[in-house]
Amino acid sequence: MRTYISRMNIALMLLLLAAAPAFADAPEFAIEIRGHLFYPSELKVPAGRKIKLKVHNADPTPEEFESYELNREKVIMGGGTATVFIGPLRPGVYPFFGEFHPKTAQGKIIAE
Amino acid sequence: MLSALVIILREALEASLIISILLAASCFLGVSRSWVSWALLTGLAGAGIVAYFLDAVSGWFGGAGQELLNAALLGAICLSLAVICFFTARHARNGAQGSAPLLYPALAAAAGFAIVREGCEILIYIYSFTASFETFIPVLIGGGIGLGIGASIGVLIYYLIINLPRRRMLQAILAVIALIGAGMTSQAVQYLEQAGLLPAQAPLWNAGGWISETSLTGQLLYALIGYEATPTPSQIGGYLLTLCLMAWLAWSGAREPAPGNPVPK
Repeated sequence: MRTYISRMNIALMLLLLAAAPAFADAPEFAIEIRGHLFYPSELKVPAGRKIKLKVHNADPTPEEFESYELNREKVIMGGGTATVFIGPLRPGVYPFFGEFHPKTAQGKIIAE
Repeated sequence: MLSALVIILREALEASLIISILLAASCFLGVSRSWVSWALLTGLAGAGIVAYFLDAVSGWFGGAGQELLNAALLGAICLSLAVICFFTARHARNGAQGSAPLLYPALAAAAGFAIVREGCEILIYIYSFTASFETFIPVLIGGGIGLGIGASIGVLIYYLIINLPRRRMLQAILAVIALIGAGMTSQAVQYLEQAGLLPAQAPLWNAGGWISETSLTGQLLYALIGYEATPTPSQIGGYLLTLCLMAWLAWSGAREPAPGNPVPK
């Protein structure tokens, strides 16, 4: 019984340690969707670090924040805000778009 | 209208490929195709419910609700495909002997969850254009055409597979099931990384120079084998692990003797 409990403790510790990187601090950046456009349409972020993007949809209709280069996609209902983690990114340009209005909603993330 | 066509086509293609391979498996196994009706009914109902509550769901688990839901759906599809992989391999060795009560629900579940996943996004997209009549009709028409093209590609794949000689058909079905399942796992890992539930990692390589994700080939490969131009190590690990699991299940299924048959040497 004692051995079983200590094994469980070790397993829990390992699980928390593995999850720790996920809870590490990441710089936050905000993007707003208004009139099917992104504000800002160009966002500079530090390269090589996990980044927290908070995307707010100020339009009444839903939009999907999507990027092939960043491998991210999330539906944001009208008036909603979504958190999307990206990175660590190598220095470069990473375009993103609003899948529901791809012709107007376009932007890019510049990692440097 | 063109945007709507492309968007709906992309979503429909994923579900259409899964359904077509499952129909091919049904044909190979001699299983009734009535699971399609179940999958369509429950899948569309599920898609409607998810679309309706997506706002609330997205807020669960500290904002990670949407990613967790998607990862759960993908995991459920992958699990169902694993079951189907095992029984398809077993049937090939033993013929129709031996009951497989899990098979029919697994077929319905895999298709149903795929329809929920793709359907809810299609519904949300179409709903976002219902505000004005002028924007709604082109979206409906474009979407309808996109759906039709997606379905047609599925039909094409179906007939390509069932017209293969039996041994090749089995290999093709098992290979496609394994690859689709692996793609599901890789996508699920991506969602968990997006929500910060898995460690943030840089991609291991960039194959975009060879096959761009935005190209037609890239889109088809994405739908079929879960192609990713810039996969992270976790995604690659999940993909390979799933392939190994599927291979092991197919091998185990093929080895198993039917009840009453002598054990193979």
